[in-house]
Amino acid sequence: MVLSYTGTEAMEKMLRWGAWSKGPASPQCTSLVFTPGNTTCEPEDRSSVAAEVDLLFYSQMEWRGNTAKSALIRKGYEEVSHTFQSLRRVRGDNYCALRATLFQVLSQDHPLPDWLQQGDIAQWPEELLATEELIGQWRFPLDHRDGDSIPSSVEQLKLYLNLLRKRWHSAAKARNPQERHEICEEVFQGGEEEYGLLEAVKFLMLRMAMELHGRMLRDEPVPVFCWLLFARDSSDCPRTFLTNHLCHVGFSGGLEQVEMFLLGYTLQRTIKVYRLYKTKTQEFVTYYPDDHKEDWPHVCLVTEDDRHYNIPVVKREKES
Amino acid sequence: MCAVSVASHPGEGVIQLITVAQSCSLGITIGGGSNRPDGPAVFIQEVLSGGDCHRDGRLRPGDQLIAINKESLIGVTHEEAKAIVNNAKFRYLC
Repeated sequence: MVLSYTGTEAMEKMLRWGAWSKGPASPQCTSLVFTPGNTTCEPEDRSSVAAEVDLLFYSQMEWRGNTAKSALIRKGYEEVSHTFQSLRRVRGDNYCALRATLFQVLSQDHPLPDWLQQGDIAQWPEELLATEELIGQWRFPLDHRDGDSIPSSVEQLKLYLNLLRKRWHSAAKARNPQERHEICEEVFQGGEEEYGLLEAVKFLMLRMAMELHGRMLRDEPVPVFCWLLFARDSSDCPRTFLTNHLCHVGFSGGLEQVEMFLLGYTLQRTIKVYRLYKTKTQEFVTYYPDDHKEDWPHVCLVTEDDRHYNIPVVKREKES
Repeated sequence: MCAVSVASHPGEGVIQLITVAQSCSLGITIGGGSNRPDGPAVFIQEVLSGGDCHRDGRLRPGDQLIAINKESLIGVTHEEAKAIVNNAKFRYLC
């Protein structure tokens, strides 16, 4: 059936005609009627990390009210502005903490973690599979349902670990900050690469959790957060940590604070977070982890609520 | 899933109907509404990763939403539109 319409009036008519009423919608699916928007997308629009905006301006626009909460958050931003003048907003899905951290790690000129320099990390999924069938069912967010050409989870993880290693090495070898930033802009375009790398980081977190758990079982010293990580009823060992927590990160949940410690440990970075709802308390600035502040490079994030993370930026001098 | 496209004269839009398999949640945020400066149309602001719409792939940010499960979004306020979107979520079991 070919129909033409102009404007909203005709759309309403079509709905009233019930042109698509075929009885009650199946409980297994949702029907959506829409009209496609402007599909010409500037490359910047796809970016998962928005361009810099003035941090104090952002704070004033977002928190205009006169509540105590608004005043507290604005005060927090003011404190942050002593060090960072700009802010880059990060795509706010459940991968946010991972995305913001990975962006900061790739975009800054720090030494590579030793596990990235030695050894072939792409072998790790197979090694893990050999010890336990933990990762055979690993989920990727952009999996397509059709086709029998989907590579196995292990193959996909290998692919993304290799990609992470390549990208991280290129970022480290960049000759100047501009080049390094260009690499980051390429990665964080909301596409398959970005999500693949985030899942690779999750895999590395699992591997780190397994290593730490092994040490605990052998009565070897471990950082304090490990006891908390595995003290939760829902995650008393790496297997349950994966099935009840880690595997949902990016899908239906984000990273809890104890998992931010694990992330810092995995990437060998001290993630320094300005937690604005904790302004004027001792927790305003929290280090994940807090026991390597001297030897692991710092990467900084800003959060208003421990759920959504943005990236603070020191304003660069303009090129003349 | 089925899709019905309605062809139109040049300069007019195309209405599409799709059905999206239910898994966890719709996973969309919306903007606009009859009471908003960026309205009156209700449109997709973001398609969240892991949600049904992201997995389905056909709905994109910027698309104007007309109806969900036959509930019309024409002329509704931002709050009414959000309620309709959330209502779709409550049908999900997870």
